[in-house]
Amino acid sequence: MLEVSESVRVESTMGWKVGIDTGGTFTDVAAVNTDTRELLFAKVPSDPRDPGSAVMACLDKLLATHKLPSAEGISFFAHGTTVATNALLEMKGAQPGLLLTSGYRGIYEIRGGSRPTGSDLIDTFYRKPPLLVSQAYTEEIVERIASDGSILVPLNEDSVRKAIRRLRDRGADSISICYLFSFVNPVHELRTAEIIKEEFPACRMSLSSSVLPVIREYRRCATTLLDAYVGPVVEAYLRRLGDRLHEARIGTEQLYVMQSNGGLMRVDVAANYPNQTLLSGPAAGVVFASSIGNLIGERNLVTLDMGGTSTDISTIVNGDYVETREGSINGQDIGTPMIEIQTFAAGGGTIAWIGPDGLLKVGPHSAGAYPGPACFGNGGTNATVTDANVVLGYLGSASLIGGQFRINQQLASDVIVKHVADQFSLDVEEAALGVIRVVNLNIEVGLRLALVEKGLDPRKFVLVAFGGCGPMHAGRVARNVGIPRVIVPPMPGISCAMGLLQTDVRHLYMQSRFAPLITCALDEINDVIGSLEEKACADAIHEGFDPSLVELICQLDLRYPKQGYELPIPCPRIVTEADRAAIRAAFDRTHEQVFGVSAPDEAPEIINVRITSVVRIPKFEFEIGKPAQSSAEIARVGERPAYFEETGRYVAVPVYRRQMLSHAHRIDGPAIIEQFDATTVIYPGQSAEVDPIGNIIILVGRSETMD
Amino acid sequence: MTLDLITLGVVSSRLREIGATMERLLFHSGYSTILRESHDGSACVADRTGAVVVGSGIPIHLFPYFYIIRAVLRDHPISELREGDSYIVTDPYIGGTFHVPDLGVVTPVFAHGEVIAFCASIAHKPDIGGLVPGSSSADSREIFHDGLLLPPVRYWTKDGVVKDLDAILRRNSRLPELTAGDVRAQVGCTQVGARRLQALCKEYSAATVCESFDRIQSMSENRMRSRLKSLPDGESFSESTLDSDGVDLDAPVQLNVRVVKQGDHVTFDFSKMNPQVPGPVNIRPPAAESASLIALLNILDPTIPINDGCRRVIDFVNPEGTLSNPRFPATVNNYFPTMHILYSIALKALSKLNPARAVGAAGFGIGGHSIGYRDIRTGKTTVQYELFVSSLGGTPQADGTPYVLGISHITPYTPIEILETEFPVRVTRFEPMIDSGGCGRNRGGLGFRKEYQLLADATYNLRMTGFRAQAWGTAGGGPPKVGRCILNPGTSRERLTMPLATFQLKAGDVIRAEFSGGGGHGRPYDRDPLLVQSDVANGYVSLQSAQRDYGVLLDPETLTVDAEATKRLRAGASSLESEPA
Repeated sequence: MLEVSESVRVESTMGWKVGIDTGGTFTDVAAVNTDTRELLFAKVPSDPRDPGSAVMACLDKLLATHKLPSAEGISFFAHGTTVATNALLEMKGAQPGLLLTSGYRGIYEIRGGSRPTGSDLIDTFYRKPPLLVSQAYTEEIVERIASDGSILVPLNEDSVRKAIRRLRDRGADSISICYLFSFVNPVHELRTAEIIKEEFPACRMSLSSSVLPVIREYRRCATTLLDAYVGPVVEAYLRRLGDRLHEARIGTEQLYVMQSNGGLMRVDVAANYPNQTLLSGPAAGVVFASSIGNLIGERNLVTLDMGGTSTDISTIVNGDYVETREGSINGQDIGTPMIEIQTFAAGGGTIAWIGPDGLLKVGPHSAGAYPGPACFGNGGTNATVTDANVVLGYLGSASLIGGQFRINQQLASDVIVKHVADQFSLDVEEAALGVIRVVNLNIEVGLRLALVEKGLDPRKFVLVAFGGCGPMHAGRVARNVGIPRVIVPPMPGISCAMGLLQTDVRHLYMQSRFAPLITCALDEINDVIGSLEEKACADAIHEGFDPSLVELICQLDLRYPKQGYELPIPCPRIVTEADRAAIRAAFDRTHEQVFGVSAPDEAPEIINVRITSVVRIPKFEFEIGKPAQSSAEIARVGERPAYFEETGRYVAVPVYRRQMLSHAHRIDGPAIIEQFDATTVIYPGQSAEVDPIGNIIILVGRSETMD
Repeated sequence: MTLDLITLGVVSSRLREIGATMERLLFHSGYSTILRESHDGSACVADRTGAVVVGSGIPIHLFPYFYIIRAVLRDHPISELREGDSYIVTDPYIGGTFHVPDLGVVTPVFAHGEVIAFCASIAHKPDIGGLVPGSSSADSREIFHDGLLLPPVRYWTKDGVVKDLDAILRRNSRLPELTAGDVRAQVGCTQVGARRLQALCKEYSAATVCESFDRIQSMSENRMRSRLKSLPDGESFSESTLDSDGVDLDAPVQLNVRVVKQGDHVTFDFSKMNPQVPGPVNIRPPAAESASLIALLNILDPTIPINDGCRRVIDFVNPEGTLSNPRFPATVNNYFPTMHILYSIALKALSKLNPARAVGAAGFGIGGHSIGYRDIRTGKTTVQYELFVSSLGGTPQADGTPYVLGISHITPYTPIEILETEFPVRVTRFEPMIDSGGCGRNRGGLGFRKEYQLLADATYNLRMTGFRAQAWGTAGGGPPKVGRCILNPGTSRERLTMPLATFQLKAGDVIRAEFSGGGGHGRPYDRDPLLVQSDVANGYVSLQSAQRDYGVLLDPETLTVDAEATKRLRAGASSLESEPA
C-alpha cells in the first residue's frame, strides 16, 4: 500500500502549471503562469517505445524558453498518457493469472454477449478478440456465494494457496480475482487477497469487488483482468516518470494523471486504478472543450477532435460528460464508467479507395505520419483526405505547422486523379469533393450517434472543433447534422494538453444493490451511500486532500422491472421518503428522452448506487480581450482559389492569419484562417466572429437536414 | 434520374445507420432476457414491395421480412395503410416468421402521402401461449399448439396502441408484461426508423432514396453474380440427419440438398428432403432459404451485404409436404436445429465450388431451453429462457471459435448473476469440456457444459438435436463430440434426456446440458506440436488425445514436447496412410 502523503494545499497554486499530453504522433505541452497568465506551448515527436522521454523533452523545451526560471517553478503537473491504451492495442501487457470460482472456467473464455458487426455475423472464419489470460493461467478456487450474499461453499484456503503457488511458478506478473456474487459479499475475495500477500507478496492484485463491484460476471471479470493486464505496465511507467520528474527537480506534490472519466488522480494512487487511464489522452480533449463551454456559457457541446489518423467525438450535456459502461478497447470489454468517446478512422492521412461494391470508401487505413499523404512528398502514393483538401484549396502549400511542412499540390492532384477521378470519370475537383463528402459522412454518422441517437437535438448543441484537422471539416459537418454553431478554440492543435490544466480530481465509486425504489428500506440504501462516501473520503485523504475539500455527488442507477439497462438519476446524499416520487419522476423523464417511451405505471428498481467525489483544482483562465477597433481586414494575408459544393467552381477566397485576429473581428465565408497548428475553413453562407477569449465562432447557417 | 455513385454511397451509409439505430433501440428498451441479454431480434428497412434493403440484428431474420411485409400488403392494400400504423404478425404460414414466438412488426413509411418503404422488426417473445411456458413444446403436434396465431393485424395507430388487440395479446401470454414490453420496444424502434427515413427523404428527395433502394439490392446481386462467374460450374449433394422428430424416437430424419451452380446462378434443390414429420422440427421455406443464402455468401464473399437483391441469383426447388415446406397446420416450433443442419449441409455441398472457404462444421444441437416456474399462490409464471449454442469448426486459418450461435455469430449469454437473481435456479457449472473439439491441423472450438440446479418445481422444455447425429471435420479434420443432456448426474436418478423433451422437474433436480464442439480442419498430425502442447496446458486436449489423435508425445509433468517420439509417431502414421487400401 502507498503511504499517506502530506496534505496538499490546492487553494494556492502560484507559479507554472504544466499539462503534457502524449499523442500518437506528437507529445504536446501547455504551460501557464498563474500570475501573469502567460501561456507557452510546444510539440515534440512522440516516442512509442519510451513515451516518458518525450514528456521530459517537452519539459526541456519549456525550460529552453527561459520563461520558466527552473523546474522548481512548476507548481502543478498533469499528464495524459497512452501507456495503458498502447499496451492493449499492441497486446504487450503483463501476464496475469485469473482466479475464478471453481466450476466456472467458461465465464471469461466465451466472452458472453459478444455481438460482432458486419460480415463477422455470418463469416465462418469469425474469431473473438484474443484472451488476455489463457486457461493455463486460470485457476479454480473452491468457494461460492449466493445471490443474497450468503456463503454456500466456504473459501477453501488450501485451494487458494496451491493456485497462487502454481501461478507464481508459471511466472504470472499479476493476479486478478473474480468470484461469483463478490459484488454482494466480497469476503472471499478479500481473504484471497490476504493469502496472496502471504504467498506471493511481490504480486500486483486486482479484485473484482474493488475494481467494479457490479452485477454481470463476464464484464466484471473482463474489467478486472484488464486492470491486471495493464496494471504492472502503468505502475512501472509512472514510477519511472516519477523518478525522472524528481531528477528534473520538479518538487511539487501536485503530480496528476488524467483518467478516462475526465478527472485527475494523483500519480501516487494512479497505480491502484490503472484501468482508469485507458482513455487518459482523449478525455483531456473533452475536458478542454467543456472548459471552453463553461467560459462562454454553453452547457451543451459536442466535441470533434480530428487528427492525422482518427477522430474522437464526445458530448457534454447540461455541463456534464456522457459516460458509458459498455466500453471496449481493441475488442477488450471494459465496464468501468468512462467518458463516452467514439473513436473512428477519419483523419488527414485516411486513405480513399474503391470498395468491392464499386463505391468510394474512405478509411479505415491511414497513410500514417510517414510516408503520409502524397502531397507531403515523402513517397506516399495513396489518395488521402489531406490530398483532397489540398486539391480543393482548403489547405495551402504553406499551411502545415507554420510552414515547416511544404505541400506539393501537383502530387495531391495526381493521386486524386488516379485513384478517384479516373475510376468514376469525374473531374479532379469533383473527385476530391467526393472524398471529403465520404469522410465527412463518417464524421456525421458519429455526430448523429452521439446526439440524435441519444435523443439530443443538434440544434441545441455547439460543435467544438479541434485537433489538426477538426477546424477544416467542422463547418460542413455541423451544417449537415444541423448543429448551428462551431467553436474553434485558440489553439486547436494542443487542446488535450490544455485540457489537463482545466479539470478537477475526480473518482467514481459504485456498488450494486437491488431494491424497488418505491418500497425499499431507505436505511439500507443510505447505508450503501454512507459506505461509498467513506471509501471516497479515505481515498481523498490518501491522495493528500483534506476531506473538507471533497464534494460528493450521489446517483442511483434505475430501470423498469425486467429491463437490462439502467439510467443514472441524481439523488440526495441521504434519501428520505419525500425524495422517492421526485427520483421516480426524473427517471421517467430521462427514459422518455433516451428511448422515446416511458412507463410511468411501472415502479422503477434500484440497481446500483454511485458516488462521485470531486476535489476542485483552480483552472487556467483565458484572458478576456477588448473588442478590436479595426476590421478583420488587418489579418488578411492573401487569397487563393478554393472549390466548394455551393460554388461548383474555384473561387478566390481570402486567407487570414489567426494570430492577427482579435475580439469582435468578423469574417464572411468563404474564407480560410491559417495558424501554426490548424486551418479553419469558413464555408460559403457561413460567417465567423472572434469572441473575447479568442475563439472563432462560426455560424453555420440553415441546415438542410433537420427532422 | 440516375444517381451518382457518391450520393448513392452517402444514402446507403445513412440507411445502414438507420438499421443500426433500430437494432440498438430494440435491445436497449426490450424487457425480456431473450431480447436484452440474448439479442434474439432484428430490424430492417424494406422498399415499398417488401424487399429488404438493409437489415440489422441477427442475419437469419433478413429473409422472412419479405414474406411478412407481403402478408401485410395482401391483407391490407397499400391504400389503406396510414401514417403512424404498425402491424404485427405471428403466423408462420400466413406471415413467414420461423415460428410463432417470433413476432413481426411492420410499420409503413410515408413521403408526400404515399408509402415509400417499411421499417420492420422481428423479435422472439418469451411466451405467446401454447403448450408450455416459453411456448415451444416438444409435445406440439400442430401449429395451434405453438401459441397465439396472429395474421397481419393493426396493433398501433397514430393514437397509440389498439387496445382490443393488446388485450388479446396479453391474455394469451403467460408473461403479459414482458411480452407487451418487448412488442412496444419493437414498435418504438420501427417508428423511430420511419421518422429517420422521412428525414432522409427530405434531405435527398424520396425519389433518390427509392432509387437507392433498387441500386443497393442490385449491388449485392451483381457482386454475387461476379463471384459466381469466377467459380467453376458444378453440382453436388450433401446430407445429414436430425436425431428424430421427437415423436418416433428411433427414426432419424433425413436432410439433404442438391446444389447446382451454373454460370452466375445457383439452385438449391430440396426435393429429396424427408417428408414432413408430426413433431415440431419442420421448417418453413423462409428458414430453408435463409440458411441457403447465408451458406452461399460464406462460400462467395461474406462481406456482400444481405438484402433481397441476393434472392435474384438463387432458385429453390422446395416441394410442399416436405420437412422444409410442410403443409398447414404442421408445427415448426423447434426450427433452429433443423435450419442449422440444413445450413451445414448447404455449406458442405457449396464448399466444392470454393475449397478455400471450406471449414469444419459447427457442432449440431443449437437450440435452447425454457424453464417455466409457477408460483402456486399467485398463479404467476416466470420463464427462464436461454439459447444453447455450439462452437465453430476449424478454418484454413485458425482454430474454430468457441461458443457461438451458428449462422448468426452472436454469443447469447444471460449472466449467471442475473439468472440467479431473477429466477429460482442455481447455475452450478459452466466450463469447456476436454477433447470435445474436432481434431485437426486447426482444431474445432470446444464444446461447453452448463449445469443448473432448480430451487423450485418447474416445467422443463429442452430444444436441441444432435445427440446421435454428428457434425464433421473437413480436409482430414475429425468430428466434434456430440452434445447431450443429463438429468441428476451422479445420482441414482441419473438419466439421459432426449434432445427434444418436455418434462416436470422438482426443486433440487439438476440438469446438465453439454453442447457440441466444432469439427476440425486439416489433418491432426499436421498440427504444430507446440499448439498441441498449449492445448494440453489449457485443458482443451488430454495427454491421451495428444498422443492418439495428434501424434504428439508430451511429458506428463512438464508438458515438454518429446520431439523425437513425436516425429516417430507421426512418421509411422503417414507411412500407414500411404499404404494402398
